[in-house]
Amino acid sequence: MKYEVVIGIEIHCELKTKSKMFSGAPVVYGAQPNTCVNEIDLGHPGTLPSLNKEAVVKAIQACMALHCEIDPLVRFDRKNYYYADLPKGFQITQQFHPIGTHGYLDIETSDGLQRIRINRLHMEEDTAKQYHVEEESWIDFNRAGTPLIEIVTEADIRSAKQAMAFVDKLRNILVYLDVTDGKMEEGSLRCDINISLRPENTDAYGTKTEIKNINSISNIEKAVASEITRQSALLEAGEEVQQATRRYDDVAKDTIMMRLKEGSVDYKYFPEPNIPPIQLAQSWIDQIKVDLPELPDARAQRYSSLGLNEYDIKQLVQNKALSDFFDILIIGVKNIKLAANWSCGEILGALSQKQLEQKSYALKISELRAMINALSDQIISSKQAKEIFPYLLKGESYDHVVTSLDVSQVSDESILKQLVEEVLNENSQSIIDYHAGKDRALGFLVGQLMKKSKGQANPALSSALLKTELDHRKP
Amino acid sequence: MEKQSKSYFIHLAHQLRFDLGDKEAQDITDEFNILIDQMDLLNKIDTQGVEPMVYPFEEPTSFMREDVVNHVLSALEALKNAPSSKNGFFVTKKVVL
Repeated sequence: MKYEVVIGIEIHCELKTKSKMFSGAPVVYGAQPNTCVNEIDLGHPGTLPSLNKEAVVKAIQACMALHCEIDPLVRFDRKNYYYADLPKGFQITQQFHPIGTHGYLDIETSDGLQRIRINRLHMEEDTAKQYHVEEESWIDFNRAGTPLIEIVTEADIRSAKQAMAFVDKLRNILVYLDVTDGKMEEGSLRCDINISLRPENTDAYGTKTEIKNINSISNIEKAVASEITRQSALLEAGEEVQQATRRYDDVAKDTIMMRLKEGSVDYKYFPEPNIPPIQLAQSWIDQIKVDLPELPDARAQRYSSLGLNEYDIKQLVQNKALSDFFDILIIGVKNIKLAANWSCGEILGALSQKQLEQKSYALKISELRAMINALSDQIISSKQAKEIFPYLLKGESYDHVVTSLDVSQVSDESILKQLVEEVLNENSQSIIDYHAGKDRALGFLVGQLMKKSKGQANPALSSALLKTELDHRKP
Repeated sequence: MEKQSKSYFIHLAHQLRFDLGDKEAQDITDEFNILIDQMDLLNKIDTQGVEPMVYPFEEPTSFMREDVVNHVLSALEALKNAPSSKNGFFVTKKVVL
């Protein structure tokens, strides 16, 4: 039997704020345990939550990028459960009135363009992190109270590839908004993927499993694909899929059962009495829209209008830090395509992602720009540029390197004419080819001349001199 | 609503890890049962078509806190009430959900 795959995704995303959702304690990743907490995060009696405005701004930005309707009356609810990761005994969330609803995100895969509907986007607080050590659980409350948004899709996704494309695109948008750092490996973006199979052309959903703990974008596709294979094998064998939470094991390349799901837990949700409803002014919301940063699709369009090809656009837009670097580089650059080549090539090779993100490099972008312009004007050759570049990386200025390396180009006509003579004498066939209209012949001759000059001949001048001499030697 | 016996409150107190004397248990049982009688009175009121009121005021507020770090405890202070701690962590019996 043929099966249709049905996938819905829930994404928890930690917001990049300085302080917690409801307290003035700091949000820091990787700090010493229990050093980023105060009484509110620890759920001490008598404390009251106070909503972080920046978290609301970031949630609204995410809503706007995902085309959600925004509820201007912010309301919170309590989700009650008793577990050590939640010191208050409840999590403050938005069960009944999510800030965003009815959104969508269009993704593009080899299946074509597809609209994935967003059911809801709501704000909540993160829980503590637990480490299970032998017979004990060790608890670090630093993460408790970190602002989160949870984004829930409709079950519109139909393959592992689409699931990956969706999370990848969503993650990139959130990173562009500076809503989150989006680091899956650090848990600042976590996705739970619900997967079920049903016979083709039927409506009823099959029994679903939920995959958690996926730590990279590429593992999404692997995890979903392996779970689809596992479920179809079960169904083909006439067995049933058990409703369960599973995790993806990167080594076993398979999903592994964590726990069976027995009915749904009753969280006894009720409105959070300690946070009265907060009315957001429409003008305030409108201003957030005006200030919305450029999103990946818009940036791709801008690059397209600059004349970049699709490959370069994709390379740049996928990597916001690199793309931001490129945007500074092209202010006053003479050859955009050359700037894109250098950004996606040498820069990406020489600087780490972390250096790009933190702008922690000695290279001065203005000096790289000067070099690219010189290259574009054929004042230097690309071979010379590659010699100069390592010095620019160390923070040296272009002018200084050119002087000290003595890489100044040979533009002396008498020297070049000598080389032109030599090259033409050695390549008589190319002269015939040139006059027979073969354009490639000239390129070949320029190449030979550059070789003779050890890359130091001025290419534009050499080319012109070659042409003149070729015309003299017309058979 | 269901009335509760004294032993129920002694059991609850035990679960919440505090001692309840015999007289205290009796007092709390009596008071609770009076409250239940009063709730039953309220239950008799016809609330058909009345929206539940969650907050004591009708007007929404508009205050939100600026995103500023203004108060943090040291790990020592944070762990002060913990019955058990190790290396800066709170420690409990292993519980995995």
